[in-house]
Amino acid sequence: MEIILDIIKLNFALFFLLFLPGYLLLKTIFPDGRTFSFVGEAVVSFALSIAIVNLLTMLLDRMGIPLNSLTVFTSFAVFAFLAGASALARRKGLPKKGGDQSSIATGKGWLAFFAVIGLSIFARMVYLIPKVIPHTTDSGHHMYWVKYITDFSHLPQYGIPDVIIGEHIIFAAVSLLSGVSVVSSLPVIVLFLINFFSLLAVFLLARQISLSWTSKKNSFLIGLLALAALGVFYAISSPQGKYINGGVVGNMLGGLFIPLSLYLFAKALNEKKQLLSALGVLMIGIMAYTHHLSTFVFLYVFAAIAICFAFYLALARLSNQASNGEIMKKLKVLVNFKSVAVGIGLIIFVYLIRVPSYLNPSAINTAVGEPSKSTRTGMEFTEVLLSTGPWRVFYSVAGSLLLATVIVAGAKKSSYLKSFLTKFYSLRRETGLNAGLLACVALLWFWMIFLMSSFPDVFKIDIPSGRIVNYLTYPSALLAAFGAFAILKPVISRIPARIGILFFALILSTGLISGSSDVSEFYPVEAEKEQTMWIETFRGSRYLADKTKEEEVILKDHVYLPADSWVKVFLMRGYEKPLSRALLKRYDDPVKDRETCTRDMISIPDSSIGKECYQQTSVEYIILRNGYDTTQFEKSPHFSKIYSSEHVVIFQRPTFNQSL
Amino acid sequence: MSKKNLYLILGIILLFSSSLFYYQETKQRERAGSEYTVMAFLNANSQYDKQKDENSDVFSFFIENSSPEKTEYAVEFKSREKSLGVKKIEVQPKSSKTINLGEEAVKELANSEEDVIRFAIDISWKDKERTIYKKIRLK
Repeated sequence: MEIILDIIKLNFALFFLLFLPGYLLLKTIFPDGRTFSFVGEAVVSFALSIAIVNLLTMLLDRMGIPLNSLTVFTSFAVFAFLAGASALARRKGLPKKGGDQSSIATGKGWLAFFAVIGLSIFARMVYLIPKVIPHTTDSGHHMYWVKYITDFSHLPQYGIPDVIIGEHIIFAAVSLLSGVSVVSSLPVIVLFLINFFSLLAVFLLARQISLSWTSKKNSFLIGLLALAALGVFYAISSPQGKYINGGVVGNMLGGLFIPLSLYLFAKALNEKKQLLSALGVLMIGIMAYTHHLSTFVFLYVFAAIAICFAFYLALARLSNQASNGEIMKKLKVLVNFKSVAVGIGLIIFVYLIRVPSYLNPSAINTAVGEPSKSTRTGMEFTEVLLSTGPWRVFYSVAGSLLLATVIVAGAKKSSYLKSFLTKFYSLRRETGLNAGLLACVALLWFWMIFLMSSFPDVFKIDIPSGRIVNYLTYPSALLAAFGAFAILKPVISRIPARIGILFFALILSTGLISGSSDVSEFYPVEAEKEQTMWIETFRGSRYLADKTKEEEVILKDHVYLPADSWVKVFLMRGYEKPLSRALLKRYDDPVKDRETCTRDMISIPDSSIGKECYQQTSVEYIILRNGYDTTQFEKSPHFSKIYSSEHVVIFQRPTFNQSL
Repeated sequence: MSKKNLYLILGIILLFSSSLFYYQETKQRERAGSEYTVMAFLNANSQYDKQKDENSDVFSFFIENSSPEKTEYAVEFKSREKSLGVKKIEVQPKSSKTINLGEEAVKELANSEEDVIRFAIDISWKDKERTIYKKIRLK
């Protein structure tokens, strides 16, 4: 019964915080109900809710209002009431709509859509369910800060640039309202939802880009292919299943906000609606509050797209494809009073309410400059291929060729290319400048990140290339959808239906085979044993939290102890506490000197170096995995073993021993 | 299909997914939490003041039986490698038992003339055995 009640509370909190505020605000901004399709409305409502939860919570905190279940519920209920009332009032004056104008598919289309959605969810569940007990390193780090908010009822001042407030507020709000602890499946559920809606954002973007030059039916097909390429193929690899499980919050949010903001700009261009651009700016602003690397990557991509736009429009002007007035109209849709006002509003918010922790010169300098380590000097093509997925890369190249053709055909008076596209890809007669502009978006999103991860020195990027290459997943799925379409469409429309289905199945099955190899790779063989170890680490951590004093120093072992980063979530004695032995290669840093005491106190506790370290750090308790680097403690006369379970042990070096 | 119906389908899918994650996690925790025995000192403090009795729980320890079965543990106390006696202790499933080592043990230690003694507890049950030990400074 208790579990059912918890599930109800959790689902209510998710709906109340991560859907309702955005939905009601969207209805206020666009009261006609026709601007967005069902998918668009659902995704924008979710992302907008994340924005509202972040901004409103920061505002409450700045006003000195304690963050607890009552204040969270009251403030969001008031917001929902005001937004709902305003949406109703705005809707009253409008004519009643006849039928659902925003429908994007027929019954069969929706069936296919939900089939792909079902497969996407299934693939993630197969991987995530055996690992749903929280245990990963990143999630432990993040959930420390989330618990800080729920325990101390205010937002933390981090003092370090690695973590950003937007990565923690949504989890804290859901935890506060539902009463569900962060040491639960809550992080996985929220990240799963973020990943799910990011799949839909790529579907929307693919559809919106293709709508500018081909039929609605083809656009829906391209959207579905993008959904399959991202949702079903390589569903487990980074930055998807593995990142949900890993608690890589910022990247997951970047994966939602990057395609969504591009979608909103694309839609603004296609429908000439300035408000959509303003919404796109808001999404970029919220991304800046949630993840520095995503924002950093997005800025490069954005600059590349802007350059492509400039060249394309100049070419169109020179070949008399567009007048100055037309070009100005296009630009005004993107840069207008509304979008600028939202941008300025966000800047004011940053300075008046809260500055993201990474906005300081030293943090920026660590990311920009000549690559300082071998892991930052770029990746080989084969590494990029394996990381992104061979199927996706192959079809991305095909998609690039198709979209390059669209750009050239749109910018120049090339009747040959236009008739080629009309004949094979149902190019719409009224295709205008948008086709080329939006093709720029799809192409540059992929190729710019490809170049950043392969040649970081050219762009003065000093960030591990492996982290950048993860950002290729989403644009590669988008381009691959165009690539698969480029190969499928001319063939299918010219052969009998049955053979066409076989051909379609052949292309998708190669993706399925290539993209599902990682499921077998990552499915845990000893899931039950691992789960037991995580729970035992929690149990040992609780013992330390109960039995030791705040000022007593604890050391844990990141090398062998499972779920070790969660120890601090139980202790709640500071982000840097307990001390931790890092992975051994971390101690050999060519860039700066690293302390080695955390290593030596576990590896050689009775050596003179080890003893000196114990004296220096005053470490009294050491939590280790049973049987892993424990022999030296068992043999030593200076240590007590005060806690023992199947997989976790705690040693004590009594303070009266420190001088020995 | 109307927006309302599509929302209904999407809502059900997401509701099902989040509920399944939560349910599975709770069940896994229950199962994973039923496979271990914890033995640990009740008090992490390693100082014992002969003049005061209030901190005598430095000698106490607990056994937590997380399994679903009642388990009998054979417990042997040792001080300076000398056995102070063996006890059979039964711990109910999913519960723990705290054992105070008794006045005799405390007396033995209280009368010690050494500053620091090693105090150990050996536990065996079924086919397993384990030890915890503590160096205690006597004031």
